[in-house]
Amino acid sequence: MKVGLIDWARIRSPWIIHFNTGACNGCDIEVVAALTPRYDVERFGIKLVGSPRHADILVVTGPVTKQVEKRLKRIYEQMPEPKFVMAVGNCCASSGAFKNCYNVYPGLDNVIPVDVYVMGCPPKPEAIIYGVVKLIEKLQGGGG
Amino acid sequence: MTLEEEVVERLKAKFGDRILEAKVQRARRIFVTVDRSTYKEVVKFLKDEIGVTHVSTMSGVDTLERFEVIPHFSYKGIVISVRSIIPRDDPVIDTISDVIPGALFYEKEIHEMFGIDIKGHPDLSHLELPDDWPEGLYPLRKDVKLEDLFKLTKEER
Amino acid sequence: MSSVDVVDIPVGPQHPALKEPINITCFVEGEHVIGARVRVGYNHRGIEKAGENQSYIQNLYIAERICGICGVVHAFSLAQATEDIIGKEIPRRADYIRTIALELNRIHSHLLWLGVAAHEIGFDTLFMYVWRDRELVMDVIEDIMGNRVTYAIVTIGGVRRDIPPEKAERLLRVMDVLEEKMKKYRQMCIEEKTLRMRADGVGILRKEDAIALCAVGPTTRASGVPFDVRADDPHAAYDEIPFNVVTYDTCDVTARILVRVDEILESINIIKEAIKKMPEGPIRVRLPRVVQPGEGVGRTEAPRGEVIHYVKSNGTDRPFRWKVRAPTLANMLSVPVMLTSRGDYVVHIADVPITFASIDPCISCTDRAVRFIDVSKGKSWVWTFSQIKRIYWRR
Repeated sequence: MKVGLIDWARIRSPWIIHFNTGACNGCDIEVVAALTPRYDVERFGIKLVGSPRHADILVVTGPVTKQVEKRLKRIYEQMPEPKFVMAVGNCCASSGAFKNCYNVYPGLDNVIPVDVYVMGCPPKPEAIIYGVVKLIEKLQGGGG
Repeated sequence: MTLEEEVVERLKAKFGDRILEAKVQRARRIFVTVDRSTYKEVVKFLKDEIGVTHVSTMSGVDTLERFEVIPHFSYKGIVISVRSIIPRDDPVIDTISDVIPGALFYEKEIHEMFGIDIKGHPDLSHLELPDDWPEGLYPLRKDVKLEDLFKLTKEER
Repeated sequence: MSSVDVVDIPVGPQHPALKEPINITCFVEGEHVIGARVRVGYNHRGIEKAGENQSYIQNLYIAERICGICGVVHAFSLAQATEDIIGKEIPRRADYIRTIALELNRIHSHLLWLGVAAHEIGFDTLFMYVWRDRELVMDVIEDIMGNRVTYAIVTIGGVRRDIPPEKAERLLRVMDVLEEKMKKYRQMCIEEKTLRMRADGVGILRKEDAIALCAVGPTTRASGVPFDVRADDPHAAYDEIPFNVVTYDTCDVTARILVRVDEILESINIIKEAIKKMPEGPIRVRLPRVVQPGEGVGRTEAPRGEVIHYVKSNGTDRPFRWKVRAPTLANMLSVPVMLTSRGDYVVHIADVPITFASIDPCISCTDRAVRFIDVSKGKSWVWTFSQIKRIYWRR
């Protein structure tokens, strides 16, 4: 896996924007942990940016509350092509533990298209990094 | 006499049978029931005479027969829950935020979730619910079913 | 009683910008902040309604996800409220394991916050060091609970997993290592001049306001109010483990930093004591799935402050009513007060990110947006926290 990573890191350093759609923060802290020295996802060229206009990948956490729907869509629209979406956590996939909650949509793909789902509640930083690797492979034109 | 028993005794001494019920459930848990005409006086008494300053939260309850508004006060580690009974067809209660400002947000939440009017509250705009939430839809009322609320978000898109 | 009217800041007409889904609105005159409004509800999901349609056990799992950072405090409070209604004592060993879970949670949460606060003050190096050391705690949490973030250790009637001697040994070793590191971080927080410059006298919440607005946790303890649920309303094993309630009385961001740093040191001691004193015995008692009619209040001291759950049962396996109040909501009322200049106390725009962060808001770690409304110039604009830091601190 190490050689593969260095290969595509040379080709492309993906910039990531992180957006919480009403998450409990469990996934968010594991996304942030992925940036810290133990996991250090930055050594693969991955960088966290503040503006959607500079981002390649939108990393989303949370069950998408009614309150944030508009803002989420606006951030997605502001990203330049080619753009990709990574759904982190069970809530993004299917509202997870919040299935019976009235103020959440039944999954991120009801609102914007999703390219990669990282399952877990929350997924460990290793799983999140693996999700990014899968997405990079997709960026390269490999795998579906 | 424990401190819990002392608080109950003082409430009964001051309000007599306007205290509909007062029980010490266990150490540091008191539950009191009053009707809404006594409610604010009891809160003022707890603040001015007993020395209560902290309201931890306020619970709204819809039993289908009536509404209840229950501020949960914290006094020297004791949780004093003061239940006020409100008729379901006349959902109004006095604010206590002029006695304890910490109640401001909790009363807003009860208003948006149950449709109970809080008389004297300075700002009953939404606390938790989105701004475009349908008017007159109070999610925590028992006659509002989960399936009805799901129509807002769970429909096929 | 507070002399500041927190809801109605009399600074001009209703601004259409206030309708936007932005959490913080600051009213300014030039560089000075003269008032603020906070809008919560960003992640209102509808948990209390869902709870009425799920069993008590299912609700333990959703409770843990009310906040991923301090989930166990919610599972504990729900369990305590329900156990009160059922009226049965839980095994003493379970009380001790719950205490260890609660304190490990406090340590990881305070370390997380310390890193985030360092980031807000512009100290990314400290953020990286603290989060690296936090991983020691995350490892031992995973070892004991089975998971890094959501523990699923509390159940109604006790706990689901025991702590065997070899895990207790590993835990004690990590606590020793962490204690040494924390003493160094404490020294750094006290002595680092730039940190003190950006935190001393910033975000003031006077004691009388903290009391009137019913603030909780380190936010209120940094204003000299000794309110700590573990001491006032002893639960789990806190009645048998002595510890200090940490207070400072400078009422500013520095005080909030020091309260949390000292609390980590206290938590390390509590955990060591708990391991030493933990009795043998069962870790759970089987309680009925159907809960008799009644009501109960569960409370604990989360890292952010008092958390309280009210449960009303009706003789079924589902709660009739479940009310949750997480600590951040209790502290939100204090934020506008901290952000209002008055007399000699001047709030600068640059102070906004760290002031907001100092209450340890249980909202996401993503960049917060603030709408500014300049009352004298009639202008309005939005800056994120990182933009504010870039503009005001060239670091």
